[in-house]
Amino acid sequence: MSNKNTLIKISNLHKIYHSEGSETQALKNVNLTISSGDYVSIQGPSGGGKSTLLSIIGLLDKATSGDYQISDYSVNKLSEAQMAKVRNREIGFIFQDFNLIGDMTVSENVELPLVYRGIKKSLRKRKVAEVLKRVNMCQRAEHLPNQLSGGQQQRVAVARALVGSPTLLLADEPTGNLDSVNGDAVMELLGELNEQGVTICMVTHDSRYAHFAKRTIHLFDGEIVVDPIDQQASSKALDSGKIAELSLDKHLVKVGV
Amino acid sequence: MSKATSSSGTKAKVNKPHVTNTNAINSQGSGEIDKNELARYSICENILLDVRYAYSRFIAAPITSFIIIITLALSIGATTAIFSVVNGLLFSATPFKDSAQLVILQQEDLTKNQTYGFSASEMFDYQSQAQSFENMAEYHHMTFTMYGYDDPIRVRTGVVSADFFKLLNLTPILGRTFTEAEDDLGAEPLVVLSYEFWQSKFNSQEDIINQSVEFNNRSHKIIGVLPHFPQFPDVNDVYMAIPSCPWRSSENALANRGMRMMSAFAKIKPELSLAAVNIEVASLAKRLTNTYPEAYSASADISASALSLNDELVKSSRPYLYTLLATTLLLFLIACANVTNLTLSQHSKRKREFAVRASLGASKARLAQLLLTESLLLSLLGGSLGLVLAFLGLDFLQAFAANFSSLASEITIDSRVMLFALAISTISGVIAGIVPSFTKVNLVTSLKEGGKSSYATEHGFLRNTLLICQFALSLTLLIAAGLTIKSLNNLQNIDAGFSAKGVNVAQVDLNWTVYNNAHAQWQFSQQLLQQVRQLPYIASAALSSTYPNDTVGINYGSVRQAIQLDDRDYNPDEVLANSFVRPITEGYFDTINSRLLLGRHFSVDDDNRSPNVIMINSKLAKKWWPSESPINKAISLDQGKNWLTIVGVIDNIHERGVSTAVSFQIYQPMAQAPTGHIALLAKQDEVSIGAFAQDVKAIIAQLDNRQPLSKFETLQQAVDNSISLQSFLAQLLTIFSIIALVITISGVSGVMSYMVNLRTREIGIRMAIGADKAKVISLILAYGAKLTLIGLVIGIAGAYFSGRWLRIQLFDINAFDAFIYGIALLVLSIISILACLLPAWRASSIAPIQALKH
Repeated sequence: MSNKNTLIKISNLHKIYHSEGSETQALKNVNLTISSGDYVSIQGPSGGGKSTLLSIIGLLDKATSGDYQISDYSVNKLSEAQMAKVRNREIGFIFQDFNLIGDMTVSENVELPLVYRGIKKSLRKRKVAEVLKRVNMCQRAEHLPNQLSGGQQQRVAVARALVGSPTLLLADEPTGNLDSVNGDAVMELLGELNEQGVTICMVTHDSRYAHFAKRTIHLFDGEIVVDPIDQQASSKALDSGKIAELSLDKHLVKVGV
Repeated sequence: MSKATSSSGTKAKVNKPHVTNTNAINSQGSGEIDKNELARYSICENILLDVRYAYSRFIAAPITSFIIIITLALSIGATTAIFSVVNGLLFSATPFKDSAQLVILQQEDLTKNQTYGFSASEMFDYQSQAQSFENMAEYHHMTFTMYGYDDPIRVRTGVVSADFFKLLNLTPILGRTFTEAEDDLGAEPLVVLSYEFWQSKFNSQEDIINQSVEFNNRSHKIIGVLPHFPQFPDVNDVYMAIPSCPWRSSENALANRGMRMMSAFAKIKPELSLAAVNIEVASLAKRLTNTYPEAYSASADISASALSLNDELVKSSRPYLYTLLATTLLLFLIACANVTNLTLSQHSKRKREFAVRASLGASKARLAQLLLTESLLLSLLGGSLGLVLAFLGLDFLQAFAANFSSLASEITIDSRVMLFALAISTISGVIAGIVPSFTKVNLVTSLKEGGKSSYATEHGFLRNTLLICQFALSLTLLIAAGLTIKSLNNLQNIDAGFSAKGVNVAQVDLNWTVYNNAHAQWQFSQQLLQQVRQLPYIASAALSSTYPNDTVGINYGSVRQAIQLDDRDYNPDEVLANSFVRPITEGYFDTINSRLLLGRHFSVDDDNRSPNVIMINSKLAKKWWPSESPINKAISLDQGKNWLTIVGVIDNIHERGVSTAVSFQIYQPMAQAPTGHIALLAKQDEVSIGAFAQDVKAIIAQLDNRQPLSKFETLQQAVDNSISLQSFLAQLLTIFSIIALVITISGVSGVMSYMVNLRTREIGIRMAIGADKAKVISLILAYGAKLTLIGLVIGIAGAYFSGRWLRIQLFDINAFDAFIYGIALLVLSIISILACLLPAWRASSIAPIQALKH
């Protein structure tokens, strides 16, 4: 790992939600480094902070405190407009329920990140065709999302995430709304993309797909309790008994290995 | 594809701690595309893309788009139509060149608050002595009988000096106008035709120039045809040179300084203000009073003033037009609130879509641009449709405006009106498009929950506020319409002192060069009346010099001198303002069903051989004899030369329209005071005015086949014309109120449906724990009722203030009218309940398990 370039560097990150006089600490002192070409799976129980962390990495949400750098950008110092540009150029999103825009065709959905980047039409068309071919959805380019199966919709979502050649692909429960056949297909696609050099950070509940990732991080109560490359965090968690708690979950047998 | 490889150079920078490279974000993107291949696409393409997205959006939500377009079309159409009237009548400069310099002069007696025109001598004095004017022109109105083309017809004639056309900068489309030399007495009789008369009577013949026509007993040469222009103060068929008019060139008109029958038009020097001109003409009036004291009453305080022609053309209709414009702007605001509310609903439903767009890199500005494009497209579509509606209503508006303005033909959809429509369409589009852009969107929750959230978090406050505004504005508009209708109703139901029912009127203006003496006039009048009375369907008939609500003859017989009474001292300065003498025949008051209060009616015995008698109206009786009977008292209209004995008192008649105060009226038997202006009034049953007109024409042709009829109308038409402006206002306000109600219904229904949609899960929970249908319905109704109530309370305040403004314009109404307010509140409350009922019913019909899954 040490010979790879660092893509994401998160230091001492906290996220606190305030609601009606009470505070919920969603993330506590998170330190995380992701390098180019990594395939990271974030796991943990519900409410552990997985999606919050993914949202912050994806610049959809802001940390309450701490530092976060992506590529050579210090996120804390970015304006909203600049964050939108970073999202557009550096990050591709894959959501659990696809989030395709219902009244736009497949090709229009896939084209959208390039539109926001200001790319001229002829190039957009070429890129869209290329990426749809890559996810094997060329035949469905002019269909509307509601004319597609769940698996097809997710492949379109992957195409949309890839079309702008992002530095980082974020996947939030990408198989959550898919049957096992389609789920497997999507995970295989992500694996292939990673093989081709795409950095992937994925949140999943499904332990069947954890092995697709090269590195699995566990979050518990907002803290990273297991990170294969951060033994300090794992030791600290072991001391506090959090790994023991996690090990009760039969789906997490490989934790900390 | 080797993304990692291609960007490896960039990654090296990350090792530097806390590097912030925001400039890089603004200047370049990462990856191979940005660096090597891209050309920035144009703003135009950007907008076109948004237009494409907007089009997809319309297809995806056709009902909402349709409602928005129709709402805007109705309100923008109404506002644009009224603006076209206001633009044509108030805002556009009159078509006369340098119209800001054009004035009409008037003399006034400040002590009696009476205004006068000018005599020929006074015109000369002002033309020769006033320094403020570039030039001056005189004008007076006459009617002549024209012979030589088909049947004889009465021709409305403006007698003008040569400078009249120069002053108004009118260039004839054929021939020429008068020269200064043709103003001199003895010049050849000449006329210039108005454009409309040339078209209608002479079929636009281009060889009409230098042809001769006979006016009364003289041949006049047609020397020109004028272009179309707004005629003021009268609409004329022809314009005649001064020496061609027998009255104007008579010795009496030339010598008598008291014969003030002319209007004076002038063009002030460009460097002078109206105030400066007024100082000069007032001072000139004083000087003339001192120079010619015999021409003025001793107690008179004579002054003169110059009135802007632009103002005079529109002053009577200005407040009504502003009222209409304000009303349509209210309607427009209601529509804007509705459209904004609908757009907010759509925006809430599309929360997930906007979050997705944001996650893909769309900035707030880019999303705002999309919303704005969608909104502007809809508003421009609505505006275009509105403009078509305004265009379709143009003839209707012109026809109505012609009742109160000579500028009616200037009402058109010109570039200014189109710009106005474009401006308000854009305003509505910008408001509806920009308001949702200010909403803070939580990307994380929006991406997860999509449209599923509580009503309160979905612009709830803003949406409720807009709905409350709609209610408040609708109530204001509805009450304004109610007050206007009540005012019209008051006008229609007021006891005007006569009944128009079944009464037809035929107007005959005798050729005064043929019927130039009292005997000839009376002989004709008498024969006409006798023969009309013999028609089998006539119940009663009478003659008069004019009739109630006559637009022309109503000014005949104005009493300008002090009236002498036999039972008290004579004060020559005590001139009664607004007093008139009307020659009538016996049977007049029976025909129009007026009440005799004291004494007797005229009879056939009150002829030129019997003692002079009069009847007076109750207002005059009360003024002079407040506590005694005026019967058998005598008055003199000519400083004691002739005494007229009062034989009857008639109830007051609103001669000048029901909204105008009653004048002092003296009625003389026509046999004792014959006139060339004859109004024949005939009460009849079940016979059309067409048949009556045919019969009267035949009778007149038999009496004198060279005498034309001036006009036919029913007395009811004259009454209706007198309240046409109020009627116009009431009709339009009613239409606008109905549009406002329809818009409000759609607004309430839309908001409630949306609220129900957002609260479906909550409703499911309530039903699961025992709420029945009625409780669910009452929950929704109560919510709607709360908003309605707040809106109505605010609306009452708005309505009160608009009522105070309307009270000045309308007839006999109060700013607060409990009945009107009650009806308006009831209507809006019912509409609110009905609009809430459907969504409430739908909510209560959802199966609890489905609601819980929502």
